[in-house]
Amino acid sequence: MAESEFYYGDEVPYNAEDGYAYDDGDDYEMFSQEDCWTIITRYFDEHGLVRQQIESFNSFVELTLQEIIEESRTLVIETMIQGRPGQEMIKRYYIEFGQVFMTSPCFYEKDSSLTPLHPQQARLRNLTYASPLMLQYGQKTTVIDKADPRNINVTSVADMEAQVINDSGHFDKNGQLVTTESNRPMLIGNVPIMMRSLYCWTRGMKDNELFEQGECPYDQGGYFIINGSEKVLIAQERIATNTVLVFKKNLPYPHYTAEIRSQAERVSKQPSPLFLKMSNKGVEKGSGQTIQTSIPYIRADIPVVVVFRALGMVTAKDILEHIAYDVNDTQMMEMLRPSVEEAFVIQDRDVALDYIAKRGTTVGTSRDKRLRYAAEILQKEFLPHIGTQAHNETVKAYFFGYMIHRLLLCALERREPDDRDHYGKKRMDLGGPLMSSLFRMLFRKMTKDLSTYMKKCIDTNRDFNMLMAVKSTTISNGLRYALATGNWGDQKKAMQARAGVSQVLNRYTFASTLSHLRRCNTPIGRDGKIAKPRQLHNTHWGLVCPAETPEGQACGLVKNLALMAHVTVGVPSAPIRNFLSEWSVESLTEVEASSVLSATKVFLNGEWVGIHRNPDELVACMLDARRKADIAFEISIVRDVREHELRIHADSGRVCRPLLIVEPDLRLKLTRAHVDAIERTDVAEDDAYKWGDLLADGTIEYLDAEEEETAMICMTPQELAESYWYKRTGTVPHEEVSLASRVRSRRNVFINTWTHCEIHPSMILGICASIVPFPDHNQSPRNTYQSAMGKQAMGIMLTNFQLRMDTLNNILYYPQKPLATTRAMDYLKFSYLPAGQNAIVGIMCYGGYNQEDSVIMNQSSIDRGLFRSLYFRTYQDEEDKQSLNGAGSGNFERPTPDTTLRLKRGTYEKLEDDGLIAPGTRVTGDDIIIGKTTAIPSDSMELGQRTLNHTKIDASRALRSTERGIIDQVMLTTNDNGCTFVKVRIRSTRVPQMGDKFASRHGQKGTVGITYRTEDMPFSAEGIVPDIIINPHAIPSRMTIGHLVECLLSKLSTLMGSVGDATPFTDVTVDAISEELMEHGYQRRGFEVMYNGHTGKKLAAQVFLGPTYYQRLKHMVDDKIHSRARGPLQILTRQPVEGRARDGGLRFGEMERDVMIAHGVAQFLKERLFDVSDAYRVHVCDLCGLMVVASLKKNQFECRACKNKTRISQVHIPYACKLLFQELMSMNIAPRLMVSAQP
Amino acid sequence: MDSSAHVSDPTNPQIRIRSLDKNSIDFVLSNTHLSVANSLRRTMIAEVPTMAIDLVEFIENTSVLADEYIAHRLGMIPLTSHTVDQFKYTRDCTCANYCKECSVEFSLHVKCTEGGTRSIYSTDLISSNKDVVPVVDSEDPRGIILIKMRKGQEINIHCIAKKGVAKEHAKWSPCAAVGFEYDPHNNFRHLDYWFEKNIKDEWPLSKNAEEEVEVDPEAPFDFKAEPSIFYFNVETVGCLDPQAVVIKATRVLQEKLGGLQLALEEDQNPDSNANMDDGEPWV
Repeated sequence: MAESEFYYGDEVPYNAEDGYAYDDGDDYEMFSQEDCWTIITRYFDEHGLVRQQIESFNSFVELTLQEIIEESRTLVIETMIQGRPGQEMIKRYYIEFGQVFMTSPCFYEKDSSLTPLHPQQARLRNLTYASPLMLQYGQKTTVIDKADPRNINVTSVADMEAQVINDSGHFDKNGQLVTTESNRPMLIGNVPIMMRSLYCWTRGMKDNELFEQGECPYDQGGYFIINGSEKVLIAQERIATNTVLVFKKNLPYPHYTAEIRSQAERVSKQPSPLFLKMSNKGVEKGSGQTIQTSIPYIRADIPVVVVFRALGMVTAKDILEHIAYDVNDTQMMEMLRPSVEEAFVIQDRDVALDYIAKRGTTVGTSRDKRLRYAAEILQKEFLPHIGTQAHNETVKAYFFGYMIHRLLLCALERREPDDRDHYGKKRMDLGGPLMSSLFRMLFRKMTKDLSTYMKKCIDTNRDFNMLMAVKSTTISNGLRYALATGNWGDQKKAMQARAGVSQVLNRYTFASTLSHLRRCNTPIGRDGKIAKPRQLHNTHWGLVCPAETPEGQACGLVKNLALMAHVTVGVPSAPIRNFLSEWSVESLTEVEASSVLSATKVFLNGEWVGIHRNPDELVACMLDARRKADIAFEISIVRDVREHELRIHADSGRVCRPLLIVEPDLRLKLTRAHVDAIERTDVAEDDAYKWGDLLADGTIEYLDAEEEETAMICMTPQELAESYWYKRTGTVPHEEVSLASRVRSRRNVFINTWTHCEIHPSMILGICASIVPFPDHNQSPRNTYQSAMGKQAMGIMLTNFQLRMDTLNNILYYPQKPLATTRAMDYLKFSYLPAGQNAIVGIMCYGGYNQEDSVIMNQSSIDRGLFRSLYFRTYQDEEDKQSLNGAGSGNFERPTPDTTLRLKRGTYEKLEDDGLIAPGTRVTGDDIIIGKTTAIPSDSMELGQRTLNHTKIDASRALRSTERGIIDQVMLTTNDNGCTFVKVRIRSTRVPQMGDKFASRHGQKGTVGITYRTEDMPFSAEGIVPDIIINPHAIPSRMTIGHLVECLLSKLSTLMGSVGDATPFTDVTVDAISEELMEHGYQRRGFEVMYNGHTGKKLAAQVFLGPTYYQRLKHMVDDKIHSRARGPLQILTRQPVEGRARDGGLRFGEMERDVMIAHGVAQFLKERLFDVSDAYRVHVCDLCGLMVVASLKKNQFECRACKNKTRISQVHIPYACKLLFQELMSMNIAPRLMVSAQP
Repeated sequence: MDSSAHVSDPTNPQIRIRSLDKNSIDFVLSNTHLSVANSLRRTMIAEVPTMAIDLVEFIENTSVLADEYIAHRLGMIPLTSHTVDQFKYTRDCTCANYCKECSVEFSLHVKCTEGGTRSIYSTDLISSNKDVVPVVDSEDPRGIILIKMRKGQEINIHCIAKKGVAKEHAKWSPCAAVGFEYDPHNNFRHLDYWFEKNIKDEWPLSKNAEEEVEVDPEAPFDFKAEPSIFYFNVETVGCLDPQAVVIKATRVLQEKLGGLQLALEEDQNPDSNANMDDGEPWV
C-alpha cells in the first residue's frame, strides 16, 4: 500500500526485476518512485542539510580571504628627504602582503598558553570558536634620487626606483616574498570558524570521536560559536547585479525605465546603479519621448546620445546601429528620433564630455580637468562590470546600446516588462559573501591604521615594528562584534548596518535548528504594504518552501530553502570566457554593429562578451561540457531563442536544484545501472558511486530559476514513460479508472518535448513542511501554521543535551517516531530525534471541556508518562575583575547579613561556603543559587544603613520567582578574561496539566481543558481509551483532511506493525487504507462505536478514533500563570510595574476603561485607575493653586509665595499627575489646582 | 429474540466465564443493569488496590537518566499484589513514615564496571517481601528494562512500595484494558450507525454478536427494553490474577454500596445520630 508504483492497467505487464517492460521488446527502462528515493538518499547522505552554509564559508576561507589580501597587496608610504637644494630624494617604504595561513581554532588562556579550542569547550566557557589568521609579509625601503646620473633619461618614478633598492631582506631575486627569521607570518586576527567547515576540529570526525568531544553526531554544523552562543548567518536575498531590468511605470505619468546595478566581479564596491528613462520631460510637445540616463556622480539626467558621443561614438548612424542593430526598423528609428534630435547640438566627443562634467560635482575648474573628470567617470563608474580599465568604450557603448534596445523593445510592446520578483533575478548572500564583505572592510581598516602608524613612525623618526603596528584586535573584534550582535558592518555605524544578519541558533527542536540554518531574509521594510515580494512566485518551485514562512509582518519576506535547493558559491568567469572565445564567440570589438541582428548575443554574468552565429552548436557543446563535469555544474546556460540571447551565469548566490535529464527520445539519461550502482555501495565506501558521479555521467544536472524557464520538466518518471509510450505507439496509455486510485492532475501524455524530469515533487518542501504527513491533503495555510508550530514542539534537540548548558531546554521523556512518516523525514533524522508522541486521538464531543480548541486529556495516560518533559534552565554569573578604584569587584561566597548589605529575599541556606549550590539540591522560587558580593565603595554610606562591619553588597543570583526544580549541574571555569565564572543548571519535570498546549502536525493546536482518568474516558468495546479528545468542530472550517488521513493510516500501521508512508504526491489513497483496515476487522473509515465512561451507555454517534502524532508545545501554564494583589511599584510614577517576571500588575487599559464608562460605573473606574494604582495627595494653596510646603508631622502648611498658612486644601490626585505638574513647573508653566468649596 | 427475558430478574446477576488465562479473563455478565455492569468496569480499573513503588530514595545516581525519571519508571513496574489485603494504606497505618504493615521495601545497587552497555531490569530489584516482587512476563524472565548504563556509572536506590488505588495514580491500576460491550446487534437502538451504502457491510460485528440474535428491524420496537447481557474482557498488568481483579472489584463495590446504604439508613432515621447534625435537613 505504501509502496507506490505506477500502474498502467492491463497493457503493461510488471516485471519484478526491470520494473515495467513494454511488450514489443522495447528496452525502455521504467523507474519507480523507489528508484527516485535511492537517488535522493544518496544526495542527502553525502551533502546533509546545511551544505550551502558550509560550502559558502569554505570558499571564503579558501579563496576569498587570499583575494581580499591581494586587493590591497602593497602598502606604500612616500617621504621626501631633504638633500642638497633642488635635489630632493624620494624615500618609499613598502609593506607587501603575501600568503595567508590559517590553523584550526585555538585559544590563548590567560596565562598565555596556546591550547587547541574545541567547540564544546567554546560553548561551555563562553569563548569564541575562532582560528588565528597569519599573514606573510615583507618590508623594503627604496630611495629615489632624481639626480642620480643613471636616472637622467628616465622619466617614470617607478623605473628610477627599480634601480635604487636600498633596503631589503624579505624578497628574493625575482621580487617574490620569502619568509625569513625577521618576518615570520604575523597574526592579523582571529576569524570565527563555522562548525564542520574546513579547519573545524570536528570536520571528518567519526561518530565515536565526536562522542569523545561531547558533540552530537546528528549536529550538522553550519553555525559559529561566538562568546559561547551559537550564531547562524541568515542568507540575505537581493536583486541580482549586472542584469538589465525594464519596467513600465505609471507614476507620476506612464513611462518606461531600464535599470542595472552594475558591479565588477570580486570587488567590494557598492554596485553602481544606472537608470534609463524614456519620458516627455524637457521636450516641446508632440516631438515624442526622449531617453535620458543617470550616471553616477552626475546630478542631472544625460541624454543617451550624449553618452554615446562621450564614449567616442559620434555619428548618428553609428549610435543608431548600436541601439537598434537594424537601421530599417522604422518603428524603433522613430522612437529614437527625439533622442537624436535632442543631442543635435552636441556633435563632438569633447563637447559631450564637457556637457557631462558640467553636471557633475566639479564646478569652476578648467575645461581640461573637466574633460578628464568626465572621462574618468565613464571609465570607472559607468557600467563597471564591463571593465574599469581604459579603452573599454566600444564595449560599454554596445552594452549601453543594448540597454536602450531593451527599453525600446518594451516600449514598442515587443517584449514584456521584466518581472522584479522572478527568482532567477535574485541572489542569496550566504555566510561566505557576508563574511568577505565584513573582512574586506576590516582588513582595509587594519592596513589604514598600519599606514598611519608607519607614517607617524617615519615622521617622528622612531623604529617601526611590524608586530607593534598590526593590531589583530581590529579584525578579531570587528568580526566578533558583527557575529555577536547581528549588526553587519562597522561598530561605529551600528545604525546603518543591517540588523539581524546573525541570529542565535534556535535549539528548541532538531528540526527548528535545521530550518534556521536554511533560512533566508529579504531586507525590505516590513511595514511596506506592497504584497508582490511577499507572494509565492512560480519560479520558487523547488527552490523555496511554499509552506514555511512566518505569519504577520515578515510573511513571505522570510523564506526557507527547499530540501534539494543548492546555493551556488560562484566559479571564476575567466575560464568560461576562454572557452567561449575558443568556440568562436566574436568579441564586440571585432564585429560590425549590423551583424548583431542576425547573430545571438552572448552574455557572461550579465556582461555582453560577444556574438555567436551558430548558437545551437555552442549551447549543445556547453551543455555537454557541463554534463561531463568539464565545466562546473553550477554554471547556468540560458538559451533565449526568441530574444537571440545566450546568458551564462557563474556568479554566487543563485539558487538551483538538481533534475533528471531527459533525452530527446524521452528516455531518462539515468539507467538501471546507475541506480543499481548506488544501491550496491554505501556512501562511506571509497569506491561508492556518488552524487558527483551521477553529475559527471550526465544523468542529473542543476538548473537555476532562469535556466528552468528554458526547460520542459516532467513531474515523474512514470509520466515521462506515458509520454514515451504515446510517442512510440500513438496510443494513449490506459488510465486506471477505479475510484480508489489517486486523483491526478491533467495528464500530459501528448507532450514530447520534455527536457528534464523532477526527481520527486515532494522535494519542493522545506524542513518544517516535510514533517507534515499528507500536506497535499491540507488547506495550504494549515501547513504554514504547522511549519511555525513544529519549531515550538518539544523533543530531543540533540543527543548531547546533558553536556550542554543552554539557557532553556525542554526534553520530552519518551519521544516517539511518528507512525505516519514522510520519506523526507529520514534525511531530517526525525526518527532519531523526534518531537512528539503517538497519542490515541478521538474526535468527539464529550462533556464540553474540549470546546474552542481545547482538548480533553487522559489523566491516567499522563500518570504513565504521556508528554512528560524535562525542563532545564541555566543561570550564569562571573566574578568581576578588580576595577581600578578598588571597588566593584565581585566574588563568589556565601553572603552573611553581618558583613553584607542589601541581602535578597530568598534563602541563602542552600549555598555552600564557596557561594555555589550543590547538585541535587531542591530549589524553589527566589532561592539564592549563586552567592556573590561586591565591595562597597569606601565613601558610600548606603543611606545610613551601613555599619562598620559592612564591607560588601550582595550581588547574588536568585532563582526566578515562578520556577522550581533541582540543581542538575554546576560548572565552574574561567572565561577568556581569566575570570572565574559559573553556570548552574536547574532541572524540573513538567507533567502535562490543564492549560498546557498541544498540537497535531496539521496546524491544529489546543490547550488541555480538563483531564479525565481512564474510567471516565469514553472507551471502545475492545477497551481502547483515547489519550486526547479533540472537538469535531476543529475540522470542517479548517479543512485539514491530512489530519484524518494521518489518523487512518496510523491506525492501520498499529495493526500491521509497520510505519506508514505519508509522503505527499505519492499514490497512497484513503480507499486503499480503508480496505486494509476493513480486512483487519475495523470500520473502513476509522469509526468506532464508543461507550460513555461515566454511564457505560453507547454513544449515539460513532467516533473517529486512532493514533495521531501529537506535539507538546513549549507554552505551558506554569510559565504564564500570574496574579497580583499588591506588589512592586515603578519608582518614577509609583504605578504598578509591568510583567510577570517582576510580579507586575495587570493593565486596566483603554478598552477596559471604555467599557466601564459605557457601563456607567464611575466609582469602579476611579478605584481601578486611582486607588489601586498611584493614589497620592497633595496640599494646595487656595490662593495661587500651587502645591505648598507641607509638614504632616507638625501639621504645618505654608505657601511661601502667598505667605499663606491657613487657606490650604488637601487634594487627592494620581502621583503621575503630580509628577506632570512638577515637570510642567520646571518648564515655567504653572498648572494651578483651584479649589472651591462645594456649595 | 426475546430480549425482555434477560431483564426478567435483575436482582440475580450471573457470570459466565468464557475464557481465562494468566493475564486476561473473558466473561459474560447477565441479569443485571447497565449501571451495575459499568460500575464493575470502573471499579476494576480504578479502585482495586494493588502495590506499587511510591517513594524512591536516591543514594547514588550517576546514570544518564534524571532521578525523577527513574523514579517514575520504577513506579510503573507492576508488583505482584495477591497479598495486598494484608497491607494497610499508609494513611491508615499507625507508623510515622512507613512500616512493614503498610509497605514493602526494595533496593537496587548496580555499578557498571565492564565496557559496553549494562541494562538494569525490574527483576534486579531486591524485595523485602517475597510476595511482593516485580511481575515477570513469561517472554523475558528478566522483566522490564529500567536503565542502561555505561562503564563507571552507578545506581544505588531504595524504594518503598505502598498500597494504593488507581484513582490516585494510574500505576496502582491492576487493569491494562477492559473490554466492555453490550447489545452487539444494536437491538436497543442506542446508536445510529453512520454508513456510506450499507450498515451490515461496513460495520464489522464483534464475536460477541454470536451470543445474541438480531431482532427483526421491522418488528415493533420495545422502547422500554434495557440491556442486560454484558461482555467483559479484562486484561491485567500482571499484579493480580484476572479473576481476582473481578472478585476484588465486586467486593470494593459491595463495600462502597454498603457504606452508602448505611449512610442512607442513618439519614432516614435522624434520631440515631441526632447529635451529629443539628441543622436543617437538606430538602
